[in-house]
Formats: sequence, structure tokens, C-alpha cells
Amino acid sequence: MNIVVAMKQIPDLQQIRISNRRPVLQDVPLTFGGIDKSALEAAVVLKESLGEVKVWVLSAGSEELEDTVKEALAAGGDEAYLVIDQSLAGADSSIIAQVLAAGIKQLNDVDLILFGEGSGDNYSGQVGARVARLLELPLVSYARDIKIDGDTAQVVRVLEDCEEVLEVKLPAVITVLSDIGEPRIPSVTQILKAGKKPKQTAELDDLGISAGQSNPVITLSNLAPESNRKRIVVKNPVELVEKLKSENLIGG
Amino acid sequence: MAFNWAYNTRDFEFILQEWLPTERIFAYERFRDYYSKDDIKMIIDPVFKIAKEMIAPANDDGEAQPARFENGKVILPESFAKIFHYIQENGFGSSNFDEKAEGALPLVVYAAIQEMLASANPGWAPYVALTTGAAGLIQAFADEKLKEIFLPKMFSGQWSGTMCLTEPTAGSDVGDILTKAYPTEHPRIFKIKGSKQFITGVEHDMCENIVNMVLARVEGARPGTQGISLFIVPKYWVNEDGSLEDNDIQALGVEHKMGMKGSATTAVTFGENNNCRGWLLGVDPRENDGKGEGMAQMFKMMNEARAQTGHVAQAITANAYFNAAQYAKERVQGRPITNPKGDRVAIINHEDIKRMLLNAKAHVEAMRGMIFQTYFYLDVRDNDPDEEARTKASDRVEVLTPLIKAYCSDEAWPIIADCIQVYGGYGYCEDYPVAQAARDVKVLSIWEGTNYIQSMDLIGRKWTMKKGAAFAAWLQDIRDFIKENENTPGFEREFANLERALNSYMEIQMTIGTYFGNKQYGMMPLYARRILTATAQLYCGMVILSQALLAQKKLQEIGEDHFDYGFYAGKVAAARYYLLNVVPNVWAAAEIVKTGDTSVLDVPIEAFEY
Repeated sequence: MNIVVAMKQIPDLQQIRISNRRPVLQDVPLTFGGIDKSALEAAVVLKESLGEVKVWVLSAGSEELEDTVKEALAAGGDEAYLVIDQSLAGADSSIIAQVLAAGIKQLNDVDLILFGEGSGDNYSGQVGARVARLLELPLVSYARDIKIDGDTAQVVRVLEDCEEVLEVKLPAVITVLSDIGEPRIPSVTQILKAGKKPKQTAELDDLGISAGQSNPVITLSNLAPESNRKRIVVKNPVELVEKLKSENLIGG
Repeated sequence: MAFNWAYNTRDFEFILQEWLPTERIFAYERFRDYYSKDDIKMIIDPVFKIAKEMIAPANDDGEAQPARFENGKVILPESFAKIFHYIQENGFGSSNFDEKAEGALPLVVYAAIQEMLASANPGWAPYVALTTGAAGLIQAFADEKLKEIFLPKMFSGQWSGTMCLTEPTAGSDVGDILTKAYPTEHPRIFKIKGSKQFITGVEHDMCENIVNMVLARVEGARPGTQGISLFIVPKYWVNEDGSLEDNDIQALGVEHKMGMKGSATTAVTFGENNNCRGWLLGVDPRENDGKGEGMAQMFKMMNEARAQTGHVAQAITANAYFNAAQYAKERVQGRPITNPKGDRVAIINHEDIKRMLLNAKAHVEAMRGMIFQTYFYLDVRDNDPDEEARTKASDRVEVLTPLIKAYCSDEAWPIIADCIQVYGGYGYCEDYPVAQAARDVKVLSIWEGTNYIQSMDLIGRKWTMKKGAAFAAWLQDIRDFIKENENTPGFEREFANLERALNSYMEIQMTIGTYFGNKQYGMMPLYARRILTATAQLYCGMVILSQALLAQKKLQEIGEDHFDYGFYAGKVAAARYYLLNVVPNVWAAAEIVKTGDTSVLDVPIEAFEY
């Protein structure tokens, strides 16, 4: 059985500083998104329960991917398929979906394709659905649990006020919630072996996609919320109560 | 009790990816093909998470449920066993030193893991470190059969390890130990009889067996250190079929210490019922003119343990610093001296608080630089194909080991005192994390050879090693660094101070040489501690200044808005502070040594009655 986990390389959110209400992204180290890591964990758990499963890590982005992917290979991925092109950093969801779908076609006998429900940076939540459409595969979104029985997956899908239990024939695309599994901490042995695991890299040309098709997302505004203290000074508790009432912070 | 692990790992990345040429280490046969220096973060980040979420939370358990003694057994907090086995089973502990294992982390990289684990739980970390050390001795000196019996289970964490040197009547003077080894019918197995004291981990409930490396004197061997041998004396004897049987080792109780309360420090007897057995490592003194190899063997472990001890001191200090800095940013009190009618401000804005924090930061980073540089040399010593390179690296390690052990554990105490001071009255309360840091760190200036012993090792052995050539080459590194970089714009005062310190240091050596020539032997132990401090300050001055030169270049490449600006600006500021405020102690020390005051030697013992 082959499970593909699509993972997006994003800036390490822990390292981003805010300056003048704007995130400073220059040179920030790259990592995979948190929900993507949960998707990988779900694949590794399936592998552990089913045996005879190969977990592919699929990603598209800049050349730093070759380093970033080791993290995923240490956490349980067996082999990586990377589409590398500088124009893919910041490309919009439709292009990324085309690239990933083309990449998946290069892999044989894919049974299950997992995505995080949304990426750690833009969180548009589109790519999984677009890939399913392009590959003409069924899609189940917002999965909290996946069980495989033969050629069928039973999926617990979380909606706002209820949970659905669905069955879907494989191959299928499933987008997962972070609740599906906390990413494991790799052992030293796994970290050591990660560098030696196989990686396939492809360029856009290999997939028949033109670099010019890339249509980067332009951020018009991305401002951190402003919070100003009112600096109200009170002289006694009575005055404090009055002020709190006037600010509608306590009932009148 | 409110331990808080407030660590920041950016300096590890700086040291391993930007400052030290670790690509040289990663190119060695043992490490190549696995990863490169670009992967450092991938190694550090998981350990950071483990330290934060598993190791540090168990710290309070060590304080609330200290190691306790019941019915001859030592009981540890349950969480200690859980994290011990997690670390050992997942390869973050002893197994990294398994020479037969596929792949390993270089020591210079493992040092970052060691620092995080030790700072997150100083009372627990020795169980891993001692197991690693004991396994290292077996790996180096035991025959294949013994290696097969012990190593797999020690590397996996199924069994733990200890080293047993100190006795009730022999601590620093280990040559006077009384523990005896009596021959049996088996030429390599001896009956062990004696008592040991202050032994960490000799009895606990975490593992199914405990492998003690015991120093004892074979009956009839020479007196003093020459006649000492090293034995493997497990808690449970391992029979040919692998079954375990009691080995007549009795714990007598745990010490009630001021700190490191989760670390079981135990007095123990071997062979109370004349039924304790040990395997001899190395030559049998009866076949070697009464001479044993125990001290030389144990020093393999001791040297590593000494560097580790200094590193743990630096780690505890770093965590105290991170906590104090965090608190100072949050605690609002007082108004700026420059704006007395303005708003109250966070105390980090006050000059004296900033001074204490920068003093702590500069020391922590300078010490860390010295420590990682030494681990770098250890990797070169153990792996470089070129013999000359290995020898050079080995010589540097010899000089730097006592500096790491003593300087870091000495400076830790006043720096942590400053961190307590930053907290004000809260710092003196156990509800805040820095009081525990002070209690935990103090023992590190005492164990693994007191800091006085390290000082005498420096001036008695390391100054004179290879007829002085090894130390001269070490000093030459500093001279070369000055020569290559002294014209760097903006660092003129710092280089002037480093050069003056170097020249002053030469005066110290000459003065001590003169005292020695005049047979004023008491002057060496009298000034040894002061000289060791000056030696480390000279070296740390070079280390932190070389880091600052790199940081300054980075600052010129990035803007003030860059996410790393604060890190690099801090590096430069820490170096300036260290060179202009700490390094001058070297020439102060030189003046004091030259003055040669002998009041300590002259004062009558009776004076201490008053």
C-alpha cells in the first residue's frame, strides 16, 4: 500500500518577529506546517497498524526543501518526492495543486493521499480538494480518525456540531485535522537514518508544467492587531467601579 | 516549587552552524553520509521539545519527592524512570556512544543535547551521564565477553551505571582508599570488600541492574594510586546463563543534600557478607609488580566527567539567566533614573538589572563557547585521520578540561546569585526557579575533583605537559587570533585588553616559575585557584570576541527589523562586556601573584578561633 502525505514548507512560526505590526519573514528558517505533520503522523500510525505500507512525503517548493524534508523522513516518511522550483515558493493553490497532482501521477499505485486541512501559513484549505478534483478521486475532509480495511477507509469527519462516520473506497484524498495525531518526536536513530532515505526530485519541466504558469499570492495587508492601553488612573475603588461600568466591563 | 525551563537554543545553532567549522567533523568517516551542518536544527528541535515537555516537568518531582531510603532500597520519583527509559531507548543518551552502532552524533552536537537535558533536570541527568561513562569504561577496557554481557543493556537503558571512588576516609586523596579485592579461583574475578560514600545512583528502583565501576586495591598491590585497580561490580551478579543473583551490595542511606534532590547520593558497602564479586579490568597487579591500571582507566571517565560537570554548571546557570531575563521584562517597578517623573517601567530598563543580566549572558555564552570548542577538539582527537591533528586536538582538550570544570562551576555560583538578585525578594523564595538553581549548582565545584584539584592539575600538569610545549601551543592560539584580527575596526579596545591579558598571563607563569625555583612550594597551591580563573578568562575572552567578530559581520548584512538582529547585537554586546569588564581580572591576578602576599601561609591556625 502506498500513502502519500503532501506537506508544505512554511516559515517557522516560532521565529517570526513582528515589527511595525508586520511579520518579519526575511531569512526565517523553514519547516513543515503543523497540521501537515499531523497528517504524516496519521500515515505512520496506519503503516504501523497495517504493515507493508510505504509512506511517501510529497512537497513542492524552493530548493531548501531538500533539507526541510529530512525532518519528515525522520518522523516516519519512507521516501520523498520533491518538486523543486524557485517560482513555487508563494505560488497560489491552483498551481500547487496541479504540481502535486502531476507528482502523484509519477508514483505508482497510490492508495491514499493525505493533506492537512489547511497550510500553516495561508490556511486556504484548497489544495487537497483541488488535487482530488484533478485526479478525479473522492475527497473526505476534516478527518479526525482513519481506519483502513482492505480497499476501504472508514473516516471520522468532524463538522461544526457533529461528527460523521464515512466510508470511502480507495484510492482517495483525505484532509485531516491536527487532532488526528500529535507528531512524534523522532529518535536519534530515525534522525540519523533520515539523511540516507531515498529522495526523488523533479522540476516543473519534468511534469509538463510551465514555470510561467505560477501565479504568486500577493499579500496586500498583513497587520498584527493593535492593542493600546487606556492608561486610566483611578483614585479609589468607587471611581474604579464607575470606570469599569462606563467601559461596559461590568454590569450596571 | 516552581521549576521553569526557559531555554533558548539560538546560540547552539550559532555555534554549530556559523562559528565552529563543524563541516570538518561531519566529513569524518563515522559521521559522513548521515547529515551535514545544515541539519543541526533538525537535531536540536526534537530534543528541545522533549526537554520542555518531558524532562523539565519531572524536575519538580525531584524536589517534592527527593530520593528516599526505605528498607535498604532507594526510591526515586516515578517520572524519573519514565524519562530515563525514554531518553535511553530513543538514542538521546548512552547509546550515542556505542562504537558498534550504525551512525552517531558528533560530541560537539551531542553537547547541545547534553546541555538541554541537564538544564531541564539537573538532579536526574547524572543517571544518564554515569551510565554513559560506566559503559564507556567497559567499552574501552573490558574483554569481548564482558562487553557482550553489559553493554547492550546499558546502552538500551535496561541497566544503569555508576562510578565508585570516594570512601568515608578517602575523597580527594583517592590513593588512600581502603576497599580491597581478594583473588578467587577465577583469575579475573575478585571478592570485593569495602565501603564507598557519596555515590550517585548506586541504588535506585529505575533499572533491573546497576553496573558499578569500583576502584579497589588487590590484596598485596602497591599503596597509593599506583596499586589501585578497576572492577565491574554489578548490583546483581550476572551468571553464565544470563540469570541475575544478589551480589552483596548494601545501600546504607541517602544523603539529605541542599540541591540535586532527585539524584540519589548513597553510602554503600560491598561484601558485608563476604559474597560480593567483581570482574577486574586491565592488568592484574600481581603480575605487574603490584601496579594496577585503575586510576589511569578511571581517568578516561573522569576527564569526560569533569568536562560534563562544568557543562552542567554552565547549563544550570544559563537557565537561571533565561528565567531572570524573562522575569525582568515582565516585572514593573520603579521609574528610570533619567525620567523620575515618568511611568513605572519593567525592571529590565534599570541599569543595575541590565548589568547583572549582561554579566550573566556574557559568562554563559563565553563558557558555552569554550565548552563546545573543547567538544569540537574531542571529535577531532577521536576521528581525524591525521595523527598530528589528533595530537594537537588532544593537547587542547587536556588544557581546557580543568578550565571547563572549575571555571564554569565557580562562576555559576555568583552569577546565579545575581539572577536571584534580579528577582528581588521573590528570588529568595522557592516558588521561583532561581533559588533551586543555586542549590543544585553548588556541588559541581566539589565533585569530580574539587576546583582546587583542577587548579593544581592546570599549573602542576598542564603547564608542564610535554615540557611545556602543549600549553605554549595553546597560548599561541590566542596570540595568533589577536594577530589575525586586531585591526578589526570597532574592536580596538577589546583586542588591546586581550593582548594585555595575554602578556599579564605570561608574567603569572614566570612569577610562579620563580617561586618554584626558590622552593616556595606553598605559593603554587596558594594562587592556583586565582590562576585557573585568569586562564579561563583569557581563553573565554578570545572565544567570545571571535564570536562577536562574526556577529558584527552578520549585523552589517541584516537590518534592525531582521528576526535575528537581537541575537547578533547581543553577541557583540556580550563580547564587549566580557573583554572590558571581566578580562581585566587577568592583569589584576598577575599583580596579586607578583605581590606574592603570604599572609595565608603565615597566619597561625589559632587565629581561626576568633
